[in-house]
Amino acid sequence: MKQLFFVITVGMLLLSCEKQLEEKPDKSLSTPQSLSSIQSMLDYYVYTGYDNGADEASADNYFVRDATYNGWLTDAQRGVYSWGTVNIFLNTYQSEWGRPYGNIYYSNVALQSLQDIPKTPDNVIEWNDIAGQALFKRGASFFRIANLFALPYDAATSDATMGIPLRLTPDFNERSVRASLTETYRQVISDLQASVPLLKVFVMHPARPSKPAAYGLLSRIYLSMRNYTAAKLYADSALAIRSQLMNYNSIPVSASTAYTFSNSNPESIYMSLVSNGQILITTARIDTVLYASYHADDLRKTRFFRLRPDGYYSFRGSYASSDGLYGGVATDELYITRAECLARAGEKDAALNDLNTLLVTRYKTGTYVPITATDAADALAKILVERRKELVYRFTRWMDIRRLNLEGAGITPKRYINGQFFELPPNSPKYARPIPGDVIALSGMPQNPQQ
Amino acid sequence: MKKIFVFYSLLLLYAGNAAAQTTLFKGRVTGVSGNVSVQTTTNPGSQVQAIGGNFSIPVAATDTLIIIAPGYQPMRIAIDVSIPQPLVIDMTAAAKALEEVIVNTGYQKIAKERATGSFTTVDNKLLNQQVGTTVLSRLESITNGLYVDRQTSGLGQPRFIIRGLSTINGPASPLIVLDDFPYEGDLNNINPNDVESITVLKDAAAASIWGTRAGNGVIVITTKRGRYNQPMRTEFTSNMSIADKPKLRSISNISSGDFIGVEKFLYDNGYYQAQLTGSPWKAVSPVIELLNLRDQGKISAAEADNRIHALAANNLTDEYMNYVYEKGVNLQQAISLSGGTKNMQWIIGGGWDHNADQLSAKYDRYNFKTAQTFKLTSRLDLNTSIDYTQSRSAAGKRGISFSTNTGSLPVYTRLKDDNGNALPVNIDYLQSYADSAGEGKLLDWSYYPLTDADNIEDVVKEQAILANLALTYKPMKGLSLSAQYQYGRQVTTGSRLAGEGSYEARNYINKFSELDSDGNIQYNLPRGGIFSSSNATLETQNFRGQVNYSRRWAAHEVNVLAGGEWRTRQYNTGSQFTVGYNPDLLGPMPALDYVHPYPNFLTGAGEYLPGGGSFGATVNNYVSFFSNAAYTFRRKYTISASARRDASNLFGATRNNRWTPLWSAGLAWDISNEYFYKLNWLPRLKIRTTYGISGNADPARAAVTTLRLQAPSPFTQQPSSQIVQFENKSLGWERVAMTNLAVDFASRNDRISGSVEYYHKKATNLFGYAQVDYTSVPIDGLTKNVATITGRGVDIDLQTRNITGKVSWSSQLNINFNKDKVKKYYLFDKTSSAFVGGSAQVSAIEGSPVYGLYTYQWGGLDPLNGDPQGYLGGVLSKDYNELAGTGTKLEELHYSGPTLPTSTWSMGNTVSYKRLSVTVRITGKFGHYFQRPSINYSQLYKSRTGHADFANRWQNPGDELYTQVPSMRYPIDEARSYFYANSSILATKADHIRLQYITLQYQLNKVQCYINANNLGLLWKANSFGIDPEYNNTYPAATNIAVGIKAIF
Repeated sequence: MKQLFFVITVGMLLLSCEKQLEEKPDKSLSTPQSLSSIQSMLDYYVYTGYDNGADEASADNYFVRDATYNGWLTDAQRGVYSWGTVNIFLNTYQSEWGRPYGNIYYSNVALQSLQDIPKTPDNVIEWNDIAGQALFKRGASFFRIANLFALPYDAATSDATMGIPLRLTPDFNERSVRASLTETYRQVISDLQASVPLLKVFVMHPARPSKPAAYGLLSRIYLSMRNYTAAKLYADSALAIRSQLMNYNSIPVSASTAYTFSNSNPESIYMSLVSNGQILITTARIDTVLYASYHADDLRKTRFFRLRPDGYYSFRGSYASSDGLYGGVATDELYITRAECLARAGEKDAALNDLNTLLVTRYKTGTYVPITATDAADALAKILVERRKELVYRFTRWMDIRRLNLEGAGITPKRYINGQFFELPPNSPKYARPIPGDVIALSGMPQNPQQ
Repeated sequence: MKKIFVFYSLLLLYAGNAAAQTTLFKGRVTGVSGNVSVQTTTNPGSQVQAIGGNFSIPVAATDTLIIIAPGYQPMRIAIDVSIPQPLVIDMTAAAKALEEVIVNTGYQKIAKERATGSFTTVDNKLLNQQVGTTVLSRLESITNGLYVDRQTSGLGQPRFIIRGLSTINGPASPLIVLDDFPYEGDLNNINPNDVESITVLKDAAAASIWGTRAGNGVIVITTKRGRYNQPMRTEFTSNMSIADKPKLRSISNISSGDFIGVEKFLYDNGYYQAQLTGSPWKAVSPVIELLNLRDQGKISAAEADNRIHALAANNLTDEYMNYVYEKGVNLQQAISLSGGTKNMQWIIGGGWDHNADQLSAKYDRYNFKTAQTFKLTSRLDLNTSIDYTQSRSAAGKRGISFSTNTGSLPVYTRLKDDNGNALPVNIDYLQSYADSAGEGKLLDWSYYPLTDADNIEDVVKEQAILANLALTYKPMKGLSLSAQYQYGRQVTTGSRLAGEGSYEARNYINKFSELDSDGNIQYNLPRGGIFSSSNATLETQNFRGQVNYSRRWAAHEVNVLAGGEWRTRQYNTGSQFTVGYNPDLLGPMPALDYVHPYPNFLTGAGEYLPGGGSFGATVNNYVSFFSNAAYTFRRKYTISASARRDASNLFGATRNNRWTPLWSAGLAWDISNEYFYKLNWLPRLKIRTTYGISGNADPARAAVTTLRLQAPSPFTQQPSSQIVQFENKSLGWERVAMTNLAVDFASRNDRISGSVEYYHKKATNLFGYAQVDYTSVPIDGLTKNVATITGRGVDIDLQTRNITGKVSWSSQLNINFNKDKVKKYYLFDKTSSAFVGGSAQVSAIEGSPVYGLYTYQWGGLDPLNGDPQGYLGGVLSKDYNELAGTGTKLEELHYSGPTLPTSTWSMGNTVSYKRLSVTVRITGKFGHYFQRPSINYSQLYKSRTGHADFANRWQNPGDELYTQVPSMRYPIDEARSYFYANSSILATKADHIRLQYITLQYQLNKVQCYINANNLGLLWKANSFGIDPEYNNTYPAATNIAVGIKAIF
């Protein structure tokens, strides 16, 4: 009798085994097998919400006082600031190189996992939107990496110029190999173009990519490639959906305001954050010539900048408020990009119209005198001046220096550090910043020559 | 023992009444020397002497022989005339019957004599030479083959290692088994007074029955039980132990005067300028604040000088010693009653511990235990037990290790003024700045190190129950079927109230305050305390069905067991966080806006209100099948084998290995039982060998992409998840194969007894943290099954009885040698900086130990300016970025040796005279190295972490002749600091000998009084820097003195 009991017990135990063994071991863990879990992964803003920021830190909108340089900057920050040539980025996946590639990995996991989820009439909108977000973030990240770690795009030489590794699957056993610059930009464009028909037009928060965001980013990327026709068309498409500008008169500031704008302001189309790791908002000071170039009635003087006890100005005008610097696309950038493209196409009046539409919102009510120009070339020159003044700390300046120098602008960023003089001559090989040494060592890919 | 003897004798007398017809029976006694006599139960009067082991005696047709040897328990053997004669009778087992060691594997209890595997047993007599609240803390110095690792466990708890490392990155702790089932609850809940014995399963044959969790060895704890036919027995223990104040001064720190000099130097160089102008609200040290006030013209230079001068007289360590730390006092009482009748055995007991540590943290524990076994029928036993523990721990004061966002407290900080009032320090924000910005309307924004803890009530309560139910049915002789069930539940609830007076609450309230246009303070966060609560429930259930067959024929002995078990473990957690809590006015809490950021009062940066909660749940299910068999022939030859298969519901990794079998086999040969064995001086000699494979499963590793839910995105307010495991299809279990070769021996009268064991283990498939190209995956390194290590060692266990008689002296010696070596490690990264970094750094270079001390070759100080120098390609260099970066090749690093000892020694000597006995335990660790701390200028500037070496730094040319401490430099040069901190000049030998404990016991009738002094410090150390290598950079365990009594009625 007792033996029988025992046999039955063991038998029941065996039957219940397989079911027990399939149970989920941790309720806070999951595998990306459902649309909601993939979406939650793409919403992991700590990762996917941030971009790298060394491009702006390498540009010429700010300076750092010697005391700050000596006392507060880390070795890595000093390396970036002084355009150092070796090990200027931390050897970690959370660095300038690793962060955007991490974003790409999240996108690749999302795209791969989506393959196992059938598209049905019920889920097609969500399915497409998630695929679009993943493609958008992947393309955007490739662009940001290329912008910092590859030389500027020039159609004439891009086949022979080193681009960046284009990782399109999450399989980390695949070796990282640098593609050509042509292939790199082809991938960037194709990812973003593929995302356009998939993304939603309106999203719950600019932290999520949307159709106008994809148009806007494509406009910026084509501008960086000096394809001004395409840049204008994409700016048109974006502005057709989102064109609202803030009137800065309605945004009050006081001497102690630390952050002027809200992170859900109406100009914000796509909010990507850049952590303050490279430019320390509290310790970096705005280039004095740049500050002096604003008119006394220009509200940006107070909305963007704040006087510090040392007599210099720091920045407080992030469209992401206190969450970080704003690396994404906003309507003001699109107006000014379109203005530039129009001027280059010889359409002086249309160009100035876009420029004045924007600037009137930046001046004290009733004080703005619309800008005029003798010809398209004059308009272009004025637009480029205004572009720099509008897009401070918006992660476009480095890109602008690179592309404009290819056209002979001769912009030379300079630094004075502890009595020593540094400069970054136009079209220097240093415009492709050195890739972290351990990545080079582990992957065997070629390093960017620094001279 | 004496009672059992009497009981047996009575039984024999009773049996003796059945007298009958007699014949002559011949036999031979082996395994014992000296005078052996033989008698029968039918005729107890007719005793014969065995001459040279041979005897012949008249017996009845069925009879029982009783063999009596001096110093041995009588042995009874049932005979009848049909048995072939002469019968060989092996007395070895009988001899051991006097002190037979039973080892408990958790699945069976076997006599150590007949085991092939390697076990260390610690009985409660040895365990009770020390006093303490927890069981495991007593094992360190007395357990053969067990090492407590404080070197490589980093800042975490010391970890237990059995017979050296079996893993590099997998879980390294042995499995703890309590009363037959794996114990996953709080180890502090086990009352040491309830423990009967502890068995450590060291080799594969002993441990592999535990399968995938046995790779690191197993510690089996068995609690006390009653006995059949035992009159009631009461055991009572009471003790008090006092722990000294910690030896704070053993960490050498920079002097106050020197540190003030450093701060002035930094200030003059403008180090603080960016902060003082950019973020004037940020806390700075008092000296910097005074210098700044002086430069702003708010105080005179003379006043600043005077006030700074006054600070130089303070010493933070003294302040902590005098005002914060006290002596710790632990009280422990335990009582147990046990007994048994013919059909029942029982025990009931309880314990109470009350501890107050050196920082006034309180711990109270109540244990209650009851266990019974009933013989329901002659064939069916029922066993039940319940253990209940309740504990409460309350956090105490904050110790000297307290550090703020801006670093440690300056060494010249005073905690108390001359009137006895607690003094404030600024840790996040500057009080003077906040006062002017807030027009004096903010709450005090200072932190009071001395009294802050008074405003915080941080209590953790735990209730745990462990219930066992077992039925054993014996349908026929030798066969038993058992079904065991264990239910465990542990509920831990934490509650922490940081009252409004605490810094934490004031800081939050101030941060989220706003000054409106009328100059009134608006609180965005309600006034009151911050209350957080947490709860965790651990529930385990085990069910085991097992068949045992154990039978002995004349020359054969068989022990077989087989069974299956199912185990489930559920762990649920939850936490809550509430602001504006008023313990006297409870009710619904106001709804707060967690979605929008509020500006920080001083910095203006948007910050989100603290709040919310978090919940978690894990479920682990395991199914296993196991079997173990042993066969002994003529009590001389034993073979054994075991096998086990495991499966679980863990993601990925284990799925790949589901049902992988693990096995072991063993052989033992008792040479001293052979006919030809003639060594009279060594009556006992046995050799045994085993080989087997066990596993090491890590629930934290998975082979599929795994997401973990994180806090919702503050922007979309949607759930967000992080990828915590990256798809890694080839990941599997670690496997540990071990070979064991051992000799057990005992000289005549056990004057010298013990064992020598040699083992070799090979751990394959080890998780290796291989650096990866983070272009391909967002992590710096990934776990792969890439490494292989081997370990070999010798465990020597010696017991000697040096003097017997009125004064007796016995010794117990454990010597453990162990060396591990990395055979294979998949290393992408050959960057030398990945191999330096002190003791906790896995160096894992093929051919070297897992943990080795690698340093940069030291090239002395530059005679011109005192810069440290190293070598790049054999040439003196000061290019620190290259030296500490990619410039130094792996081969150029200096290798000192392993950071874990290659041999550990422990010797206990007990001298007894009449009722008094004294035990002295000395331990030693040899063959390892550690990196000595010195002044690190980066840390000194950035976080105020100083070192006394500062005083010996190079200051003027010529200093390099007598010092190796680099000069102070500004600006901060991280690479220079890193190079020096990891240079060979600081590599130091760690060998040392320690006086672990002295115990004095006095037996007064049934009462034993004892005094135990523990952690008595070092007797010898190889280094000349005054550092206890076990406690490098931390405070040595404080000396502990306990007095107590133990009574048994």
